[in-house]
Amino acid sequence: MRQSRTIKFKLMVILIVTSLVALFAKSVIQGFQDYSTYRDDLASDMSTLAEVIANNSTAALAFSDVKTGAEVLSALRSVPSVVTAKLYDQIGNEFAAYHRDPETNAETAPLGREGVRFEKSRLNLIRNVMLDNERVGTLFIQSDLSEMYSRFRRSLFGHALSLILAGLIALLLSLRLHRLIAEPLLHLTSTSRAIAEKNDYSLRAVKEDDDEIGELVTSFNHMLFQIQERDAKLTRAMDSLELRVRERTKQLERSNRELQQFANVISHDLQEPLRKILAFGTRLIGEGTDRLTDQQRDSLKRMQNAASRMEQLIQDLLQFSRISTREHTFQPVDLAKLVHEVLSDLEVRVLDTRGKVEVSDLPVIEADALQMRQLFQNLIANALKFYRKGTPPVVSVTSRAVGPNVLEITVQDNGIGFDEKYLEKIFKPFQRLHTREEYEGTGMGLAICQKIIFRHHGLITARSSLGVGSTFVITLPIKQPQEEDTAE
Amino acid sequence: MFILRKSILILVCGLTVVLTLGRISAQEPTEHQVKAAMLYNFARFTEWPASAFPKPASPLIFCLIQDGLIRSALEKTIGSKKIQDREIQIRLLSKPSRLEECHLLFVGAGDEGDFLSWKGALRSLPILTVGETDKFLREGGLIRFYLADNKVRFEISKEASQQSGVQLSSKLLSLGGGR
Repeated sequence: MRQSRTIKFKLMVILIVTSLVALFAKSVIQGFQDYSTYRDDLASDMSTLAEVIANNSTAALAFSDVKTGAEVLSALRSVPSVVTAKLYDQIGNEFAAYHRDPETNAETAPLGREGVRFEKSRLNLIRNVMLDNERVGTLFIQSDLSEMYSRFRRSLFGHALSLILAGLIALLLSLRLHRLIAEPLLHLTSTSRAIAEKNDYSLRAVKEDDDEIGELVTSFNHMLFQIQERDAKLTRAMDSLELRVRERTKQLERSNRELQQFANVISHDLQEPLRKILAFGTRLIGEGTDRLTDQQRDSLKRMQNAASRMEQLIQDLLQFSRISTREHTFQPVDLAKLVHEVLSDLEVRVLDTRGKVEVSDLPVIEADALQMRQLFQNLIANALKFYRKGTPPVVSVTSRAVGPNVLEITVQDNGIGFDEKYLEKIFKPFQRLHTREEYEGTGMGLAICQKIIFRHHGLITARSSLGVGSTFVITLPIKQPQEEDTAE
Repeated sequence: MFILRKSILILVCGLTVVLTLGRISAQEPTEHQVKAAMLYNFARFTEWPASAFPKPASPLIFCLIQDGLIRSALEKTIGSKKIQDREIQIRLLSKPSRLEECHLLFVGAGDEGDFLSWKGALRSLPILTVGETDKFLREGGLIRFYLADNKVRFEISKEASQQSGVQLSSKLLSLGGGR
């Protein structure tokens, strides 16, 4: 409500200040007018008075009758503002005088030219007494301005009073009038606040008048209507989109499942004839040693090799396809223990190459134990496999927490390395950077690793430079996110 | 009173006296001079009926019965002054024949006999008569001079003025209505 108070307050201030300023200006002007009117009034009153006195004093002056002159002047007793009046004869000598207060012997003002002159608190009037176009003497009247000033003060007081009164009236009026503008605005504000709070765009402001605020209300309501409509459209579009995505996902899941089943079945079924080929091949070599020529024997051996490689391929393929068909079996896995087991499996390989594998502290994480084992098996075996001739492989496995729930594991070697432009290629199935003659293998190892990592909601990447070594970096969640995606 | 004031003035600032109008001489004014000035002033506060003048611009005529000091004093006082835009002429009158032309008639103390003999003719004429004797007003005169405390004063007969058709200003009446 703070805002509403300010708009009310502003409107009231505008109303009051405007009226007060206008009134004040008027009062000031009127004050000046009053002052000049009072002055003019006094001057003209005094002039009239002087004319009467001057006219009455002609005979006294002509006959030098001081007594009559004084009598004429004493008529001024009825005009309280006159302080002093004096008659001077033709040659400027004082002839008769009148003082309002007999004790105060007022200073003799120097006789100047005819006219009315205002001084600080006095008005001096000098008038020639004329008789037949002849100046027979001079009249001097001095009056007090205190009466004029008190009149002026009264008028000022009246103006001040009217100013206060008008201010009060303006205040009272503004208390009522500000509603004309403030009320519809307040209504609009409260409506918009309600909309913002409840997110309810079906609310509408009520239009009260056809003024600008009314127009504002109309366009505000129109805007609300548009928002509502757009909302509805958006919701509809999203609904249909979601539906489509769900359908498509279902389709994809189905085809994926079919494909995996297919691969599984194929691998399984392919193994059967292969085993037969291998078995009979072995028997052939064993039974017919004498009858076979060296060339035949060699052919058989090559056939056997190819068959066993094919078996390996099929096994890898099976493994690869099983990664995602396996049920979720995430449980705490002690990686240190797991890697230790892997190393004991690979012990022969380590001894053959006179290599070294260093394992730093590894934590317990939530994972599929079997797949983790597969992962480390593949990575460490790779590191031992791609060593430089003459340089015993040194492999180090380290880990560090890079976030509250993120573990980074690196497997570093000092092997032959690879060009980083093949980074993407190495994680794809059946992709090899080297010939079978150089390094054996099916090209499935890293693809399986990536698939395992993805299934564990992690990432795998590698840094390498040729002839220096490779570093595989895995980031894995320490605790698997609680998600039950039925679609896998 | 006038004389007294004047004498004080002369003592205080003799220089200004030189600049004063002819009405007042540098010397202490004589009784004649004072009376001449008063005659002139009487005329200024008096209104004559239009019938008293043959033409609208006719001069105002001051009549004297005898030549004497008063005449020269009066001539000096009047000079070329005008009253109500009229020129002022001074005329000596030995017979009442041209009395109707007069507007102001000064009757000296020795002219009392002439005044009394002309009274019949004067009664029907709007003439401001000014005399010097105690009984002048009783004899039908309008204004008389008298001396009091060695000063020239004047007295007005309101009754006579009303009868004569000459209108004396109330201001004048208030000054000379004392007795």
